[in-house]
Amino acid sequence: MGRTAALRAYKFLCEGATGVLSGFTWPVGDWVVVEGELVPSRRGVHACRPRDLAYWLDEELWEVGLDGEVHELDRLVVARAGRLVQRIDAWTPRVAEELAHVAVDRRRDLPGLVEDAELWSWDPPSAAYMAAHALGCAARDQGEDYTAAFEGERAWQGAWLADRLRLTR
Amino acid sequence: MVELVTEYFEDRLPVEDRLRFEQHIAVCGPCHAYLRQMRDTMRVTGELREESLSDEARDALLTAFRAWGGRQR
Repeated sequence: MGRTAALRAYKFLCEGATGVLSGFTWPVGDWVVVEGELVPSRRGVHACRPRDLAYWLDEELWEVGLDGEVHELDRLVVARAGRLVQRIDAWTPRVAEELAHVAVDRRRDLPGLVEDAELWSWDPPSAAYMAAHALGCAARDQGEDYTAAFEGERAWQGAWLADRLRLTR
Repeated sequence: MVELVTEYFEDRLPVEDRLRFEQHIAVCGPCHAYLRQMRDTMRVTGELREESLSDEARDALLTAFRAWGGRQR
């Protein structure tokens, strides 16, 4: 069920405030309102909460305001209306690299993780994903739930980023 | 991946697959770059009009197409 509320969230975009998936270039400050039924990944303003940040890393990070009908899903939020409020200047390539190393170092005992990160040249989105994936695999090998471990690690990465960038919900 | 991108752009993937695809794009540099290039290509080619071509470019294209058609006959 959706709810009607105004809330703050975040959105990763490519250079020039353009969504890599939608190709849409966001106007800064203006409300973008979507008509019709909201459908995740198809129709709606897509954004993320701090705990979702690690799933959607990209070049630019923006604080967004959401309004109207809002659906909070597992890894994202879909809203009726949204606008770019301000760019988070603290999100830089240097911080992205920092995230990659923090994420991998924290799980460096997991087999093959450091080697995989090196193979992908410590690309931040890949390294952070691989750390969570390796933890999920280790959990599965011990008869535990892959998804719970994976999502828990992603949430930790999101919390680390939110703290590092001084974000609030 | 190429087929998936086409199906994604043409909105032929179920929502669950679209979400999985999007999460992959977010963590895979090469796929992210490919998707971005495809978007840029679609945008640029979508802006082309006959009148935006120079006379030289139009003549060169017509010559090439005529030669191509002749070879196929």
